[in-house]
Amino acid sequence: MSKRNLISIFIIVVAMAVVIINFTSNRDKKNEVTDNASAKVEITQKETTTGVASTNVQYVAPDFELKTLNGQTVRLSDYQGKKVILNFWATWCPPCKAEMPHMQSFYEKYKHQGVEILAVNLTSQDSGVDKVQSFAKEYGLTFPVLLDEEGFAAQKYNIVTVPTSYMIDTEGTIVETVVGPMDETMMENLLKKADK
Amino acid sequence: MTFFHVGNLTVLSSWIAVLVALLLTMVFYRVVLKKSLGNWFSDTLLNYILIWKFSYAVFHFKMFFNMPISVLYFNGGTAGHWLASFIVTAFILFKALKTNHKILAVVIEVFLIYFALYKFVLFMLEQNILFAIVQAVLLLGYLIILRMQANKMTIQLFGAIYMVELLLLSIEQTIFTTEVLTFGWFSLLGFVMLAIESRRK
Repeated sequence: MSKRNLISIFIIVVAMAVVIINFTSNRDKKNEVTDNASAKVEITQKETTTGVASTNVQYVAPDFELKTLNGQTVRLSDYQGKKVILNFWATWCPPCKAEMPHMQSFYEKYKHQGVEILAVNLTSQDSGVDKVQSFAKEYGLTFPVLLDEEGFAAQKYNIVTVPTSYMIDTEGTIVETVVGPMDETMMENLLKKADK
Repeated sequence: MTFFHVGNLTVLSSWIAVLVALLLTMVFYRVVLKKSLGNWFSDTLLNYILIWKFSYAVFHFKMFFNMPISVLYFNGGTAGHWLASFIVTAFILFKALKTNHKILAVVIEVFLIYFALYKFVLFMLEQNILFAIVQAVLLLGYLIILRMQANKMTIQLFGAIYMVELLLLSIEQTIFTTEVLTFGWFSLLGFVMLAIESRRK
């Protein structure tokens, strides 16, 4: 049998294997099952020597109580059972402004699927509630905007730069942290991380 | 998809994998295959990155128009990736056909090494050690075959390699993902280039 024919047969056999694997049932997302199978509050932080930290730390999200722009008072724990993107922002921060339209668009798509966005404004470091109000109006934000007037929430969450966002799953565990602006794709990736 | 914190930013594991794979491709190509990469590679790379990045303005025109600086923070995403891939493909084909450049067979080798490296790094970053090892072994195999074949890579042989890599990808994920489709697209480009090359001889 010539080398050419051998290769051709090899190709056909492997192609059959590919077809069988892809078109038979039970195509679960194996990677996610293997990685997240361990207990959710396992604190195994891995940090390489170059300072790049893989976020395998899973903390329970600290609760807080803040007023919204509408004057209501809400607690984070009120949202237990939903997947929450907790976002910290300020009006003087350009990337925060850049991500808002993406967040609004994302929210419109997913709000009926058990997803919530809580945008905590660092009011103690911002230029007044009026500015936050006009900002929310200008961007047509329909998700809750919370006012951290005393800076306690920012403190609890160790906010150093903005925007910073936390993905909190239905049981109140922080499953991922994002520093910097998010677009819709990133938020969808975050949501996947909150899936069990 | 894993998120990594580098300084003040959060990056996706796939971005890190792409960067590292590109660097290693240049190293491996030079060291193992004893050839140097032509300008076409860095041109292609630059074009791809620029188009992918700035296509944000195209696909999110309204947001870009309201705040042009936002293009610095975001990118064109999957749509941008495909736009960049198609344009870059056109450039490569154009260059190969018009200038009679000897990049024809080379493109497929480079892409193969790059993709295998990309998958290897990604598996490592996502702590999928078993797959990382398998991919590393396969990569080694590919390098050996490429070295042995020198400039005589055939469509058939590449077809076999393509199938093996596709098999690995099938086991890891379904083949209907952007990643696998991209692999398919550029492999197709490679096939076309090989076909052109063999007709020229």
